[in-house]
Amino acid sequence: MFQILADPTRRRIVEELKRGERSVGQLVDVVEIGQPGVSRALAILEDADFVVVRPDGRRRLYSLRPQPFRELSEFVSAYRAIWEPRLDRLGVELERRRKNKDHKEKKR
Amino acid sequence: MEEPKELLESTGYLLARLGSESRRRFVEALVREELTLGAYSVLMLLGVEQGATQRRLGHVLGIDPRNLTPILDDLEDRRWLTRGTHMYDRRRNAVMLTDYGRAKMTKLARVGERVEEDFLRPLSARQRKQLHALLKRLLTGHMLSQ
Repeated sequence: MFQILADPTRRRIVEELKRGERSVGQLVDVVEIGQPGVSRALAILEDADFVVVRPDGRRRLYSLRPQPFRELSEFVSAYRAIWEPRLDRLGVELERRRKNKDHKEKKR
Repeated sequence: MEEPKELLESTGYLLARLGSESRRRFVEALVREELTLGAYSVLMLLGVEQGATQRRLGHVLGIDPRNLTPILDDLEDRRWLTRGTHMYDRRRNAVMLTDYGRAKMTKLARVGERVEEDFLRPLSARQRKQLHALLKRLLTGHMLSQ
């Protein structure tokens, strides 16, 4: 999953699709790389089930599928146990420094 | 696994679930080479049928000509393949792997083996053979009945 989002072009496309359905042409305008590059990026996102495409007349409209993002979120949540205690410790340390400073200021 | 027990009792569900898992792993391996499944299938076929025509590629792989052209354009830009006239029939377009494309495909074959090895890791060598034989039998059965 991270491999899929490792590429800046694919990330730009995902960012843009977050706002809604887009055609290839619209994505080419935003991503500012050529049509073949955008088409390849979209095909990779489609292979990886990150996007779905539906025909709309002569255009093909792309949109995000929620599932891979749900999985990414679950993956990251599993690490909350690591970073939350660290943030707590950071919070305690900052509080200690603040009190210390207040204390010194009172002494003056 | 989070699936309800009832689902895990359905063989069809297991096949679908494992199929999508196996596909996902393969897609991620291909992404390292910036290849799509469609592009990979084209390159695979050219590996065994050097000089296949565009029409033949589309027909065998079941890719619509409209979708095949951009795949071929992209692979040609990246020097994986070249297009020229057919050996015996100059009116026809033949597609050929370049030396570069061929070398890349050799490398990808090893990547594919690693992905499969990893996927089948929970099984013993004997179980892998059994699974393979059973799946093949099932597929052959369905192809005959079609």
